[in-house]
Order: sequence, then structure tokens, then C-alpha cells
Amino acid sequence: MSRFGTYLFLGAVALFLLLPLIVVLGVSVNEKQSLTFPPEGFSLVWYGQIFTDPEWRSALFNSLILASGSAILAISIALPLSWFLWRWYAPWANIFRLLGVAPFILPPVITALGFLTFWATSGFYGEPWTAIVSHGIFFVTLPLVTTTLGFTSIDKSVVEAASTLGASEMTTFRTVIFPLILPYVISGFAFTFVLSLNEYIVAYMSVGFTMETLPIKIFNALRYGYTPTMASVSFLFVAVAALIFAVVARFGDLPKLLGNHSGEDVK
Amino acid sequence: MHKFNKSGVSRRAVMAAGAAGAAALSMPTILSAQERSLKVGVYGGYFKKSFDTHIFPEFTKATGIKVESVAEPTGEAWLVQLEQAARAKRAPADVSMMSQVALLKGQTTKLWAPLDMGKLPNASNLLSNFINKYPDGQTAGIGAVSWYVNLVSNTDIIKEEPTSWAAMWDPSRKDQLGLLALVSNSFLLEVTATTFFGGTQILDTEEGILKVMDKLAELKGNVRLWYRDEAQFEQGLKTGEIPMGQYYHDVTGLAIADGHPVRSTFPKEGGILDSGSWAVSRASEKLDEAHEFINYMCQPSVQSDMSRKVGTAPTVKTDLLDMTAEEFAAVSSEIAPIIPRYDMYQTRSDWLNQKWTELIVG
Amino acid sequence: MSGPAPQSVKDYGPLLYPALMLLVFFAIPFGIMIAVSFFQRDPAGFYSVDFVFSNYERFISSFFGKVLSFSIALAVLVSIICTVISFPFTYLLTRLKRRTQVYWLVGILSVLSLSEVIIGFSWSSLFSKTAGLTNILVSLGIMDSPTSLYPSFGAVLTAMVYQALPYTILVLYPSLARFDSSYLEAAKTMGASPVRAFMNVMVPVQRNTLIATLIMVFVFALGSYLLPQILGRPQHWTLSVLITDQAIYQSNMPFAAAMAVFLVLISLALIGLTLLVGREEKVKT
Repeated sequence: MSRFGTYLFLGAVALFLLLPLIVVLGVSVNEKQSLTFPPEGFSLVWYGQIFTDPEWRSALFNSLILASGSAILAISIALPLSWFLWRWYAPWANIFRLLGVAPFILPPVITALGFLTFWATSGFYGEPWTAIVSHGIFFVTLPLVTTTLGFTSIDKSVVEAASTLGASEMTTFRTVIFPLILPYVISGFAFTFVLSLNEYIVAYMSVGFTMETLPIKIFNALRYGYTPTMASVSFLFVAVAALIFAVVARFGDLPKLLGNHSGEDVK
Repeated sequence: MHKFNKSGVSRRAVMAAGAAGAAALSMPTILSAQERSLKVGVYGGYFKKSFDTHIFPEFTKATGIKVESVAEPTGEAWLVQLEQAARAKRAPADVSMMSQVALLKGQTTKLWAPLDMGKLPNASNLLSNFINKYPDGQTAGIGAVSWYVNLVSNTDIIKEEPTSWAAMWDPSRKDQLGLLALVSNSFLLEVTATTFFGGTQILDTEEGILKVMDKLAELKGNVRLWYRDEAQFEQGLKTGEIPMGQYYHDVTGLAIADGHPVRSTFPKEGGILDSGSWAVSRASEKLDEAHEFINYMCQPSVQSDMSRKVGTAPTVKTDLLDMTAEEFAAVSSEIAPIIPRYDMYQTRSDWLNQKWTELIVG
Repeated sequence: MSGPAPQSVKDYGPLLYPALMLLVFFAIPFGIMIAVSFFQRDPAGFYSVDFVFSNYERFISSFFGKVLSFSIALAVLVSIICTVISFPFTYLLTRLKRRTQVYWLVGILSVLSLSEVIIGFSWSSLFSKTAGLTNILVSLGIMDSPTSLYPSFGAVLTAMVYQALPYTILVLYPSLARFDSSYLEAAKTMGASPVRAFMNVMVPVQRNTLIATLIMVFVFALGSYLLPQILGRPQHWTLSVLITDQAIYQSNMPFAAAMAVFLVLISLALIGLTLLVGREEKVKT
């Protein structure tokens, strides 16, 4: 492909990805309470409302707690599992890999219904922590995939060298394996965090009425009367996500975290 | 001496600690006794907002019971949640405003706590059809508000006000209608039956229903949007992109007040008169407060207030209301309404749902 | 890839916690769903414990067959389009300066964080008559008057591709970054055009990655239930939409569960078939 063709293609994809964001941004600065685009007038009140309106603020807060809690839980399940499957030869244990990937294969509404009946049967329906568990399990696939990717990229001879030098299993893990795997743990965390932040149906089915997360709030706004706040909060979310990933990129090697192991610029 | 002193000090300390502990323990109960509260579920959005600003504060002022309002989704989604929650012995809301179909479905699983009519003296103000009874005669729900689903249109696009539901079948309306997507909240079968078959009696039998569905299928080409959530259609109606359809009279009134080019018409066959009832989840532990709340809401003055401020039609007898003719006309009409066949949705729910889905999807 | 077999019970230790969590919080809820699919539906209320096949029988009809084939066809189409766009795109991305890549990745990850609700809403604006893309075409003189582009199949497809594209790119990214472009250079020095070299060298080498990506996006698209509702007509509603309807609006859990089990089986079968075909072709070459 010629250089021009390359840029044209990249530019077209970029435009496609940006279009809805432009609309969301435009809508969010409407002066009146209507979702017109291009915006009529200019106002930032809808951004202020996210923090001044207690309902939007608490939804934002709930979402952040849910996302961090479920991301930690997902990692805590995925990491030992992928380590075990990498460290030992135990074909039957692959059933758990399958179990870990399955939540993502099912249509989300089914996983959501499964959780709904489960929490209702066990009598915990409505407890805020059930959402964390539900999301942690629902998204466990992501860190499982990233950490598995990480383990396969480890040169086994390094580990063998460590153990011939007399390091115990635990020491080897801590000093050799963990530093190598850490970037993948972080990217698994970031994926789960961001997806949990935006997940609607599982959260709605497990705690929809006791704890309003941001996507639930946005969806309710979409149902019962549009307000530009839903646009402003979406844009804020994108901005926050961009900021998080930018910070990760500032202090870490973002391409590497996402699986790019080639060294510096490849040409 | 020394010994006595020591024990005295310690005894005093123990007593002080005990008193403080007792005080600390009793504090929350004192607080909660002062602050009685009730969780009330009402439809989210504009409806909830109106209740929050105009109705609930007045109730709290009158009774001292704090209201925590919960946004409930339309359709039967809320019923599913209430039922699941009740199995886990929880009540996401103590009192909920339920649609008639959902209320009937909830009755079959005894989801609603039977209400004590002795504690609801104001319920006698209601029109008798707004009191829902269990088959054994116990009260399951009390009419809260009623509302009209009307023929709405955009005045910029459709200059001349339509007068009949039949306008929706007009070939010139191709790809211009917004209709509700669920059989049990669109009530289009009743509309079709009344408009073309002289009444809803034809819906008594399956053959009759299928005949009505055939007629309804004729307007499929005119439908632009089958909507589930009201905001989806409202936007299109206001901009004129979807210039005609069925919509809530009260919300349309609000849009008119905001200056949008829309109108709500009571067609000559009548608007659809649907209603919501207050019902109490069996898992609720606040039966007393719930009764007080429902009783309060049954007062003619509160009902008039709701009509003026929320735009709903009252459920109490008309002669008890202090509304002017003009105020009444804004929320209701002299034309006899189309009353939904709630029984049909209960006895034939799955069959009806299947045929309906095939009708609109197929 | 794996090491020796576990030597003692102690070696199984790390497996205990993840295994327990997945069994209790995934296998059991899913098992309950399967059980519910055999329960007796009570049309007036919820369901009662039983063992009946009626929920499955109801599903086996030409109507649901049509919906199922539409859902699968839509998901396949989304997955092919996403892969066709993302494969060359991601390759070009990995060849950019690392610093430039970071900007792209931050952007892509941010788009990934858009919720389905917002995607649906913003595309419905973009496709609308009053605020949409056609207004731009009109002002450019390409079109005479603005029109609305939704509800339509194209609108559903576009939004679903939009939703799945960032995932596709991120799934492809690691393997394509590893790819040694000297192969391509070799092909080019041998006189192949860049596009041809890409097709003949790159695609066969990355076959497994491609298959895995196609499956992942297919499954992802199969679960979409909001976009077909917001942007499509009823004939574009997918099985996921109908499942949600049954579960949420009809409170018919057994039927919803039966449809879900069916959908899972179908997607597993398709995935198995794809893997099988992929493997056989690999053997042949």
C-alpha cells in the first residue's frame, strides 16, 4: 500500500471511531434540555450536574467501586488458574479454563439471568457485593486471556535456571515470574475495570434496584426522557478512560501491555 | 479501704459504660421512630420527578413519613424483580405503582400483601373498578392514577388533526408511525377491535383475536418504530421524524407546554384508558406506613393535585373532585374510553405474546 | 507448553480457590438456568419445578428458526467485516512508531469504554434526518434533501461493527505485533505488489489468529440485544432481544432459558466446526 493509501485508510478508521464521540460531545453542551445535534447554544451545566446532582454523583461512585472490586476479584481468580495451567501438566484442569472463558461466550442476558436466579435462591439478592462477584466472574475471561498470554511468553529456561539455583516455587514466582507477568495482570485489570464500568444487564439484574450504576442510570434516562446529562457523563467517561490509559501509557509500556513484545519501532 | 475504693471506681465505670452503651443502642431506634419512612416505586423519569416535587413532600408534611422513591421500569420488568426479591425476603419498594396486567400476574403468586380496607377509609372515594381483589375477596391493589394513551401527531408535518384511530391505517402514513412494541402495554388489539369490529367483544375468542390481528397487520407498513421505552418515540415525535403514533396523553401535554409542535387527540373511538394501582410487596415490613400512604393518596384533593401537576386522570368519583371543567378536560375526555381487556392478557398471555411477536417481527 | 504433572496434593493448592469460585458462582448459576429450562411454565405467574420439554418444543418452529438464522447471519457478517477492516488496520498500526501507537491505543481503549446504550443513541442521532450525516451530504450538494437512515439493517450493522471493532483490533494486536515484516519485504523484493504480498504471505501465516478473532467477534455480536432494538425494525431483532423480552417482560424464565441453552449449543457447534475446518486446512497445507 502506498503511503498515501495507508494514511487514508487509517484516517477513515479514525473518523469512523470518532463520529459518535463528536455527536456525544456536541449533545452534551446543549443549552436547553434536549438532545439536538449540532447543539443549540452552549452550556456546561450538564457537566456540573454530574457532580451536583446527588443521583448522578452516587451512580458515578457506585460504578467506580463496582469496577475496581470486580477487577480485583477477576484477577484473583484468573492469575492462580493460568499459573497452574502453565506450571503443571494437568489436562483435566483445563475444564476450569473452559469455565473461565464460558461466561463471555454466553449471551450476557443469560449470565445475568443465571445470577438473578442464583442470588434470589441463595437469599443474597440485592446485596451490593453480589454485583462485584457477578462482574468479577462475568469478566474473569479477560484477565484469564491476558495472563495466559503472558505466561506463554515467558521463556521457561529462565524459570528452570532459577529453580536449579535452588529457589523455591514461591521465590521463583515472586522474583522471576511475577515481574514478567505483571504487565499482563495490569492490562487484565484495565480491561475488566473499563468493561465493568460500562456493563449494564448483569449489574441491572443483580442489584438494579438497590444500587444504581452509571450505565443503569444512563439507560433509565434513555428510557424515560433524554437529558443531556447522559451525554455529558458518557463523554466524561470516555475522557476518564482516555486519561487512565494515558497515565498507564505514561508510566508503562502500553503496546507491551496489550501484547506487543517486539522491541522498539519496527519498520 | 483501698480495695473497696478500687471496686467502687470500677463499678461506677462499668455503670457509666453500660449507660452509654444503652444510650448508643437506643439512639437508632429513637431516630427511626421519629423518622418513619417508606419506599415507593413509581415509573421512572418525568413521572417520578413530578411525584418527587409535588406529591411526596406533601405526604411527608401531612404524616411525618419520609418517602424514598424508587424508579421502576415500565412493562413487567419490575414485577420480575419484585417477585425474585420477595423470594429472597426483600422488598426493593414497599409500595409500588403497578400496571393492571402486572398486578394480575402478581396476584397469581400472592406477591401482594392483602390490604386492610378498615385502614383505608378514603378508598370508598374510588370508582369501584379501581379496587383490585383477590379471588377470595381480599384486596390486592388500590387504584393510584389512570392515564390515557392517545393518538398523537406532530403539528408541523400533519396539519389537520386526525379524528379517528383509523388514520393510522391511511396509506399516506407509510413509514410514519411510532407504536408500542409489547402486546400488553400497547393495547392495539383493543384499538383495532373498537375501530373496525364495533367493540372489544370480538377479543373473547382466539378466532376473533386472530381476525383483529389480521386487520392490525395491514398497518405494519406504516410503522416506522415499534418502541419499548417512551423516550425513544418522544424524540422522533417532537422532531417530526416519526410524525404520528400512540403516546401518553400526560407526557404529550408536557411536551406541548414546552413548546414542541405536537398534539394529543382523543379519537372518536376513545382514547385508551389504562391505570396503575398501588400494591404492597408481601416482603415489606412497613404495612402500617403503606396503608397510611395509600389512604392519603385516595383523597379527592390529592387526586385533583395529581391531575393538575402530574397530568394523570383521577381514580376517584368525579363528583368528589374540586376540579374545574377545564382542568378535567385537560386530563380526560367526555368520549367513552377504550378499556383494555386485562383478562385476555392473563388467560392467554403466552399464546397472545407468541402471535403478537410473529405479527410484528414476521 | 505445560510442565510436569503435579507431584502431590499440595501442588493442586493454587487451583483450589479459582476452581471453587468458578464452580460456585458460574457453574451453579448456569446449572440453575439449564434446570429452569425444563421447568413448567405457569402462564399466569412464574414457573414450577418439573421436567418438561415444552419450552424447547415451542422454540422449534419456523418462526424461531428464522430469527435464529438471522441472528447468526448478522453475527457472522459483523465478525467478517470487523476482521476485514481490523486485520490490515492493526497490521499498519503495529508498524507505526511506538509513540504514535500509544496515541492510537489510548483512543481505541477509550472507544471500547463506550457503553452500548450510548453507541445506540449516538448512531441513532447520526442516522437521523434532523441531526444526521445526510445533512452533511446535503450541504456538500451530494444529496437534495436529508433523509433518515434508520431504522434499517444497515444502521444495526454499522453500530454493531462500531461496537465490535475496538475488540477486534485489540485481539489481533499481539499476534500482528509479533509478525516479522521481513517476510513481506521478501515477497515485495520478489516483485509482488504490497497488497498481494499481504494477502499471500500475511493471511496464511496468521490463519489461526484470524480464526480465533472471527470466533471471538462472532460470539460477541451474538449477544448484542440493545442495538437491534434501538436501530432496527422488528425483523432485525435478534434472538438475544427475544430472550430478554421473554425474561424481562413476559417473566417466562423457562422459555428464555430454553432459548438461551439452544443459542449456546448452536454457537458452540459453530465454533467447533470453525476450529475443525481450520485444523484440517492446516493439515493439508
